[in-house]
Amino acid sequence: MLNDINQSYIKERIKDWKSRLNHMYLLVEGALSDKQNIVCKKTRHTTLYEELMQKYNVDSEDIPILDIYKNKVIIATFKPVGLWVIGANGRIDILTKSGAYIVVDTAEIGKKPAWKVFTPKNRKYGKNLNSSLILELVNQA
Amino acid sequence: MNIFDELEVQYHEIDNQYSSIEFDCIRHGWSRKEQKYKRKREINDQAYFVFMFSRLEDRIREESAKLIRNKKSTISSWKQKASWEILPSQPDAELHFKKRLALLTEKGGRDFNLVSDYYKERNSIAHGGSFFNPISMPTVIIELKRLHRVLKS
Repeated sequence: MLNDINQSYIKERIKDWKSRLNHMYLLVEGALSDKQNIVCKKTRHTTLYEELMQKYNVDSEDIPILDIYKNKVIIATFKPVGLWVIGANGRIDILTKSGAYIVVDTAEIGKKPAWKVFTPKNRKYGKNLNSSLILELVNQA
Repeated sequence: MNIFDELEVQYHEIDNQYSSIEFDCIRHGWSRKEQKYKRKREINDQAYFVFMFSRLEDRIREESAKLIRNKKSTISSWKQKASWEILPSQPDAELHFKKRLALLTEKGGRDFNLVSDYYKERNSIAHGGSFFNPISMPTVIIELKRLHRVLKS
């Protein structure tokens, strides 16, 4: 596997990561679309510049952060933490006032994402990321 | 409650406190303080990862030593016994960690590779490596607990 790593492989992984995040954000926005007092914004970003990118001379990338507002007050932030993660194929933290929801892709590289969410109250068992979990998160915030 | 459970509870308490503060900083636009707490969480992840891995490391040393002692005392054929006699019987004796691991699980198998990856990361953190990869602590803790249970002599 290590022998297969080169600059184009790294770029492909980044493209895939951005695509997975985009699909996740679409899922979140879709789940909240009929909520009158909820607004989703992607005006901030975080920088992706991980060790392998530096090693293979790949430029850093801006990765959008998704902020959720309820009655004009920010209640949750989807913050991408990293792509090359020990124990998962990418990690995003959903930061809230009650702590962080740790979201990780547990699927193998190149496979359809299998997002698992570890909530602030239960970090022992991962739940599937779906519309009902997003609504639950927003209602609790 | 075993040591993994205790550490897990403590780790998550700290991470939730820090992430709550990190979120508060975002709400108020305090970007420097936000970065500070982001970094605190990263260091907390690394510290607990190394701490918890050390529990697994101890387990692998103990179990591999137990296996060596058992083989030395039960094998009667001198030919078979000879290869075990050259291995140390004590868990703290000098024998490379991955060689100990290979006594408990198939070299190149999933568990062997997983522990080897964690070991590499542990060495990088413990010996002041200049880079670090983010850690998915909830999934790593699940694996560490499982490995602690299944890696036996």
